[in-house]
Amino acid sequence: MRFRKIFLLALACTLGCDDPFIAVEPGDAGLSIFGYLDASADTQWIRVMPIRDVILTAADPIGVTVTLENTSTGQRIPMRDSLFHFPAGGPDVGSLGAYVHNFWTTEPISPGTDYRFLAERSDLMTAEADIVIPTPYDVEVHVSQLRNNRILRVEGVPHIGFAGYLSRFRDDCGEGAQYRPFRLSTAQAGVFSIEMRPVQREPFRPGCGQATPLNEEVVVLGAGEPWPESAAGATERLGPPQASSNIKNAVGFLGGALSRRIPDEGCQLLGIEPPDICILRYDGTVGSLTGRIRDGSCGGGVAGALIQLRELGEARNPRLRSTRTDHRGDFIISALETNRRYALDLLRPGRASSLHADTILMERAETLQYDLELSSSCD
Amino acid sequence: MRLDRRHPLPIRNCPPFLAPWWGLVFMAIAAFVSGATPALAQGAIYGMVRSAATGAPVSGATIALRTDTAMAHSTLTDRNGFYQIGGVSAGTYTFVVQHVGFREAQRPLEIGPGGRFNLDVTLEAGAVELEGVTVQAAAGAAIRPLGRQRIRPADLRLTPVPAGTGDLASYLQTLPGVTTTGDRGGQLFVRGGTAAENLVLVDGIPIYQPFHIFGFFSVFPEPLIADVDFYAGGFGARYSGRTASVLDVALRDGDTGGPRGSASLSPFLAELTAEGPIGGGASWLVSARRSLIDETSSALLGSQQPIAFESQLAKVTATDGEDLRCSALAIRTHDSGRLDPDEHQSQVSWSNVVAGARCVTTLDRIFRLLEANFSYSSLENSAVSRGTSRFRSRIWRLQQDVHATSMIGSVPIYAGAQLQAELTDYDLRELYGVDVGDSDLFGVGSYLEVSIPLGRVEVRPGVVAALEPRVAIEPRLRAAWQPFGRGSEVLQAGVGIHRQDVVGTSDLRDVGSVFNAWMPTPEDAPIEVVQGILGWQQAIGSGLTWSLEGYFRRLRNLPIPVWRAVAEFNTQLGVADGESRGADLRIEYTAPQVQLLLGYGFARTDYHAAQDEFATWFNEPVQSYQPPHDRRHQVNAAARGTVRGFELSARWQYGSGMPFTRPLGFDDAFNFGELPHDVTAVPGTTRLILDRPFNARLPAMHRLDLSAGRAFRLPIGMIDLQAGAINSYDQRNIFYYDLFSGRRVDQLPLVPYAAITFRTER
Repeated sequence: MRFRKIFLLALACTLGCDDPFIAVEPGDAGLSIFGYLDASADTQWIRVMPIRDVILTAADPIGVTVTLENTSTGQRIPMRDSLFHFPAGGPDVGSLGAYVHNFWTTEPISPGTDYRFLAERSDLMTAEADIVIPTPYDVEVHVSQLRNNRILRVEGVPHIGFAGYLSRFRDDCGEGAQYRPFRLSTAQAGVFSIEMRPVQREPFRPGCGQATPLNEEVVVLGAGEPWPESAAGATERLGPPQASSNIKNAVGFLGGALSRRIPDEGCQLLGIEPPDICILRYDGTVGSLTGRIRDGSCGGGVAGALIQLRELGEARNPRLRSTRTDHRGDFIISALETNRRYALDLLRPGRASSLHADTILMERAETLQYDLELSSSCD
Repeated sequence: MRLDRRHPLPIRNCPPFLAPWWGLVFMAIAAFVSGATPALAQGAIYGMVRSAATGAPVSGATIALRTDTAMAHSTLTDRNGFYQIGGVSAGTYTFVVQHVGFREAQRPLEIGPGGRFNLDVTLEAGAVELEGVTVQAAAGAAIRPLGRQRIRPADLRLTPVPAGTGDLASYLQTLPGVTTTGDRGGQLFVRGGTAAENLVLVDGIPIYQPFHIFGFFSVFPEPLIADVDFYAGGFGARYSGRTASVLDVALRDGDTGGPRGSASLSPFLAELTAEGPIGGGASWLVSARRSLIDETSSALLGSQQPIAFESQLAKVTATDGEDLRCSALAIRTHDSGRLDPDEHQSQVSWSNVVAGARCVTTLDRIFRLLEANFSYSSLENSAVSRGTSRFRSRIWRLQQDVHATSMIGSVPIYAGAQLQAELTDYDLRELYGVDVGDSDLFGVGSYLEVSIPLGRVEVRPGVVAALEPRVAIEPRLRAAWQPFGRGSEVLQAGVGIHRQDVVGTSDLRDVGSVFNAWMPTPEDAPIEVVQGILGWQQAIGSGLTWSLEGYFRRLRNLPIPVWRAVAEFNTQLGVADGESRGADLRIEYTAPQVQLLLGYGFARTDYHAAQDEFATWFNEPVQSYQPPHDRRHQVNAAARGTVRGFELSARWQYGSGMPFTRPLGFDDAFNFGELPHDVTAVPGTTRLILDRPFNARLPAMHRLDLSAGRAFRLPIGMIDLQAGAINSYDQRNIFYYDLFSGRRVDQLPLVPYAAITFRTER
């Protein structure tokens, strides 16, 4: 009788019990942290989230305190928690929507300084990382007429996290911005030489039609520590809790950077047997000319107008600098040598004749404002 | 009964393409054997057994030499109807031939010292009488002479199949040591080997993917099968190029007596077979089958199973009326579908094309039996993963091989040579990657195996010698010992080296990955397996047999996908070493109305892989783990019986959980290596972070399949009606866990079915 009961029990269990299957064990899987401190930015943003056992996110508090500590001065900078909600259907959001926690501070970050990042959970588990902010560094652009290329040269920074265009554009989905990276190369004798040819030729968003460029600038992200590889799939190398991440007790990546933004502008050497390479230096010894071209008859800015600045003086090979106004009519020409006079010409889009001519004196390393309202450019 | 006695002839006039090389080898072996054993001084008999009605060879017939007091020797005819017995002491014997469905044939035989006799036998159809001669079992799951399991068509009826006929794929799943992916996928893993390490031959032609996407079905319809030889390991030198197992399928010839056919219909499958004579002893045979699951599953299961397959087969056989028999075979198959019905962006498909010709003849010269094959086999294989990544792989193989059976003194000798070209072509470009390639691989090889009778011990040393793609030697040794002098109690052992140069690799992230990219093994290093088996098998009384066999396999250079810590499809290859060990226990009972099979398999396979990714993630460059097909425990119980005219069958399966990689969890990642993302502007890309490879196991599976059927005789033929249920108690068995989507995919729930089969009769 007893054996019969045991048999029936075993049979019932075999036939009736489903072996429970839990793919992801709920529990302590650590934190996921992504972001970088940029000494050039007004506000620092770091994403801090728990690794979760379900794909969905929730608006619940995560009980994490985040601080930055200047290792030189001992100053502690608390970062504030902001809950962001990305509604369903938005770009890169998917059909479920997402809640995320971004921590931020507006305290200035000093170049050449090390910071310690601490994310402490209520259960005292702490994720930490050492962040190295690089010192200021030099950027040059070498423009070659013969080879029809431009080389970005960066010196004085140990690593580069990113170099490329930041393009603003308009398409069927509205206005957007997109980074278009250059192919990075390793440093030779401490100098990074990067051809300014983006991997992606034009900005483009899938399903949004053809993009119309609005303006473009070159972004360089100098980094104090090695940056993740730029190859596709490198995200996975950003470290599990128990491995060689740059964040202890977390997955993700925390970087330290000093970004530089320079305008996308042209340069050509004139005169007798001009050298091929025109060098544009972006440092504290050069000045800039910026402004807006408006149309008095039609209203609004004149987009696509060509601004040319030609160096005046005794130079054997004066430089001809050029740029175009953006969709608002704004322009900027940078890396202008000081104590020089420049002849300014303004040409309408698609026309060779000058609309306006003037002379500019760049005495010091400063930014000169030059706004112009035209009265006869309306077709 | 007709007996032909011919005196042995001197060695001469052997085929020119074999003469110089093999003649020397044979002479060397003869010299070795004659010096090493007394067997050469003993006598030998050999010959063919054919059916008197059709002239077809009779496979598996029992050949026995009896003295007045005991049975001195016995053997079985091979699938060509050929037999040979060596080591026969001089004396007077009764020569007996038996086979089910034929009248017994016997005659007295006087064998002198060193005498050799060619005794061809023609059996008349007649009553089944097998008493009087006790021989080793002809077939069965437990009794496997020298590792070979002979599977008969009747065995295939042991397991319920949701169709009107049995199927080899379903039957193989009842065997311990054989693991499948479940009821979909068409993958079969034998003793720790991967699906691509199985050598599958149909009438001597290799076929790359012999199982349909719906796991109950193979491409070999039961009505067409003559017999199947299955080696779960320890196979001889005749088989090379694969390292895990051999499945050697022989299709029967068409009926020379007149046209006939059959048709079968079930919710899963429709099948047609037709055959008939051509004249002059020649015959034809055609078959076509097509799945109906795609169309019927919505009504039957309440949800669609988006998988489909079809296959066509044609065979022609001709004979010269004497010793030469030739056949030509062509097979085409196509499978496609989604293993996860809810993943609409993914699809897998494959197609086999197989064609070949085969001739077998007996000779009165040094070669008693000569077999030549010429074959072509190809597989096209493609997959779409989540609508973004598309993969394609093709492999072609042209092969010519010859096999000769001979006897020097009283020592049977098996030898052969093979020439093949294998071309692969694959396109594994992913969303960002480029991985395209092709290769040509030429192979030239030969083998030699001898069977040395040493009293109660039979020793079979053999060797595979390859010249291309590299010079290599694969020694093999098999032995059987009858400690009590009875064929019903045998201790067997085998050891050998096996190599494989072309491999089908799949993303091993989970066992549900069925796309195989065929390519040469990485770094020009073949998979190398050194394996040994040791087993005991015994027949107890009438009908009860059991066996226990242990094995150990040392694995080298196994191609595996490079590990990645997040769930992404990956086609980069790394290499692993490892070992498999385990044991199979089989108990079988066979009586006229009942057949029972109980099997238990224990297995453990370990891989050891060194990869940079492991160092990055785990600070240890070498990780050891069990691969996803490592099923530790497996129990199968199958029964078939006839009760009041009803044929009943049942199968219960239990399998412990297979390994899978338990993820750490989800997060939203940014690739700062690509762009300086703004964490305030986008949520990040949701990803599944994986822990150490295969650090957990899926739940165990178990299932009961049932069927009942009855045959009715009609004036024009027979009708079989069958009803049954797959997964009778509706167990929720996991098929695999999709790491990419984080979704569980289950095997079939309770599926009732009915099937009808009509067969014409002459």
